[in-house]
Amino acid sequence: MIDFFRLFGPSFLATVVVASALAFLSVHVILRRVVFVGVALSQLSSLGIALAFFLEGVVGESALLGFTQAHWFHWVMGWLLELVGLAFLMRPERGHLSREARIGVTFAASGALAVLFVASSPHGMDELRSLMAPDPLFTSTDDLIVLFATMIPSVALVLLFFRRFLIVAFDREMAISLGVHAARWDVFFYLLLGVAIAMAIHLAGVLFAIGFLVLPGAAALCMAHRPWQIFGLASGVGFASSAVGTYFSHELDLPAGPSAVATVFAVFLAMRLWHRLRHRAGPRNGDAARAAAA
Amino acid sequence: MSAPPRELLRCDRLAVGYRGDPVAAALDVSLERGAYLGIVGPNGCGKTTFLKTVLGILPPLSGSVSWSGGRLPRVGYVPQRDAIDSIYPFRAIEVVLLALGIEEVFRPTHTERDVERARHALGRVGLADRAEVGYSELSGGQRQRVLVARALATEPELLALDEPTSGMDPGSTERLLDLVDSIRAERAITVMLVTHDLSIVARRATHALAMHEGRHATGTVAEVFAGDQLQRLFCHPLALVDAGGRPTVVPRPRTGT
Repeated sequence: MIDFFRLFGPSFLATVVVASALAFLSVHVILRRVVFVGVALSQLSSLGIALAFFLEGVVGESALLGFTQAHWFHWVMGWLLELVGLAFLMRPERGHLSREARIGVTFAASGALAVLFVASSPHGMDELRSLMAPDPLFTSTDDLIVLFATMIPSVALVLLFFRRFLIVAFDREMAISLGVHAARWDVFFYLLLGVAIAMAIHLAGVLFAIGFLVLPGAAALCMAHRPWQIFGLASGVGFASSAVGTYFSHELDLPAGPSAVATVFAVFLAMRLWHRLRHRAGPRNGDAARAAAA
Repeated sequence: MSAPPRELLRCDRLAVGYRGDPVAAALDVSLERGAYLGIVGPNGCGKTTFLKTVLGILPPLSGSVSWSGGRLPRVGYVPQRDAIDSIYPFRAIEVVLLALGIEEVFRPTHTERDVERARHALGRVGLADRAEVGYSELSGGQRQRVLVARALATEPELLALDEPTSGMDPGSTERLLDLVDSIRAERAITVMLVTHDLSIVARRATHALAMHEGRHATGTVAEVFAGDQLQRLFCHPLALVDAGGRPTVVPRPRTGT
């Protein structure tokens, strides 16, 4: 174990930070019922990274090569494509193209284009594998710097405006009637979410990003019943699952990202089962008992 | 210091609707401070759309909405109870607390004073003992009262209620409307109430906006309910009768062919 942390300590830290941050955001994503927006943003981010790979091939050996190979460039491309996608997804519904249909169009188009860009890039399938499930245990120092410069402030802002984001999501109309500009807060939330997703995909791939953007929140909602408990538990599930999954992937010589997602899925199943058993055994969520005590 | 102007809201040639399609148009409505406006009509006539438009939740399609002083007064908004997503893990008191201190962007949590206000508001609607119960576990009528408590807790100048008695039994309906009346009397607030029940408007409101299939009538309740105006608006014979001292609108059978 000591060897593992000596070799992979910083990368391991990056993985659990990304997983914990996504896990915290996953509660917002589930409560807002925007899981598919999150999935579409993930796909758009992967398209941006694929475009960055493609541009590496286009610029060839020119002076721009160092620029396009830079780690931050891949992350920025991912985020930029998310912004373009958000402008399309967030438009008010008009005519026959519902928001749901737009999410589907975005997902399909960005997924197809990402594969085509990667297939046309110099390294082809290797980059496709790297895009879908890169090994987070091989995170570079540059990536770590970008991670701490982007993801931590994003999550800090979500925490700072926690109450405002919750009000706008829970009862948008009430918020507007009290003078809150709900549309601006929505855009702000999605921009922060986009930063986190782009960083997660760059470090750990699409599968990891989607897995930790859904499963920890879903698991926590089975077990906890107070807002802060749910957010705390989700972050804890993200942290522990990614730590355990990543460590055992190294011990068992398995890919780290899928191992972490499989671990968080196992935690989700266990919590779901516990919730079912408890639900059958007694009053729902124990709230009747809490109310009586109050 | 001069008294505030009597007129609180004015709508001129207002058209309301969704995605560019008008549900109701050419609405000329004026509302005085302290009035009780009953917005009445059958389902789909645009009552809720009108309310949401004047509150700034929906943009007007055309025409204008102007509030006295150029800004929306402090609103206590009670949406239709199905508008609230019960997936959120809030207790009744947390639903009320969400609306408090909303003007302070950086406030991370509520204060002790907020908790007191929330408990007091829940007490006003008869839910003091349900404050710690999950919102999703309350009955429909109790959820509606939680939303009323939330509106009251904001100490509104304008109380806007969208079908607050929908799905309630007659006793609960009367208690809720009595509560609205007493709050209006205590605090001299303005009330806008959306309902499809003409009798509620006849008994409770001072002013009415009756809407039906693109047509509307507005004014004091006496003006709107006078003569055969409602009958012409709703294309059905209606009578305002006195049922044990309570004005009640009843449909009359059509005569002739």
